[in-house]
Amino acid sequence: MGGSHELGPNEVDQLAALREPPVLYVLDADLRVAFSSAGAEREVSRELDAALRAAVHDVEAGSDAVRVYRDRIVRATPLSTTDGGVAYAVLLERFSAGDLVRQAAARFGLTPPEALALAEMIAGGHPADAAASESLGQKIPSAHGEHFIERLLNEAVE
Amino acid sequence: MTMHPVAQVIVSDITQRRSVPLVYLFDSAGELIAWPPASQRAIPVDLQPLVAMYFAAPGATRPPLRELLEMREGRFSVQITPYSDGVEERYAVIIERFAVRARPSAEPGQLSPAP
Repeated sequence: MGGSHELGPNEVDQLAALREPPVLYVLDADLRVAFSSAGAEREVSRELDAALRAAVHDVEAGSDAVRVYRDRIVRATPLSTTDGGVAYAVLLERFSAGDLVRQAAARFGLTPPEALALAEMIAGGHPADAAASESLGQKIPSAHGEHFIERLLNEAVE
Repeated sequence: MTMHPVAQVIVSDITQRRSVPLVYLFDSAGELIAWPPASQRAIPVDLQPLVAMYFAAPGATRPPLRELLEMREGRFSVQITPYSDGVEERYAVIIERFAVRARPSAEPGQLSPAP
């Protein structure tokens, strides 16, 4: 059965460390920002507006509504409203793959340009340094690298 | 150019660990005004006492709330976040599965302070 769970000191720390509260945007059916929570940007930048709309389009297309950007994770979910309409909740969290990139760099002896290329790939971009990108592929054989990364992730989170 | 398999693994794992939460919106009177389509305009039974208790307090004394809740499907993080449309206070209830970290090191891909 359900019920409230009183947090112990360790769990409070875990919860606080695990996530910062996400910033919430509510978009109306025309994909305009109707409301936003504290911490949201007062003026929605062009970049943010594009990210919000992209997340909603993912929802509408029925695909995964979680997008990873360079410095944030965007998640979206549809809402039904009292007037019979549709709205969208979009949540933003700050994000950095820095720790994982640093560990991969140490494990595989990546140079700073190669580590940067890896970080750029994770952020969904194209590495500016093509040579670093190519040597990255030579230093981290696919199967070996995947196994290492998966082990790291499994150690870090239950 | 295709993404390196290692980068793909990282992005895929981050995506999986960040499941899309359930989001419910309430007005200042505690009335549900928006909900996930599959919820049929009702919050989960396990969540009802917490939400009722929250809205029983006067509006001016409703701070953001964060709690762990044992529900039928497991342990969930529940956040209640006040926000405003410029006219009146509204509240977002955000529910997502809670994963406990095995050790204090940062979760890969986590945000600097958080993850």
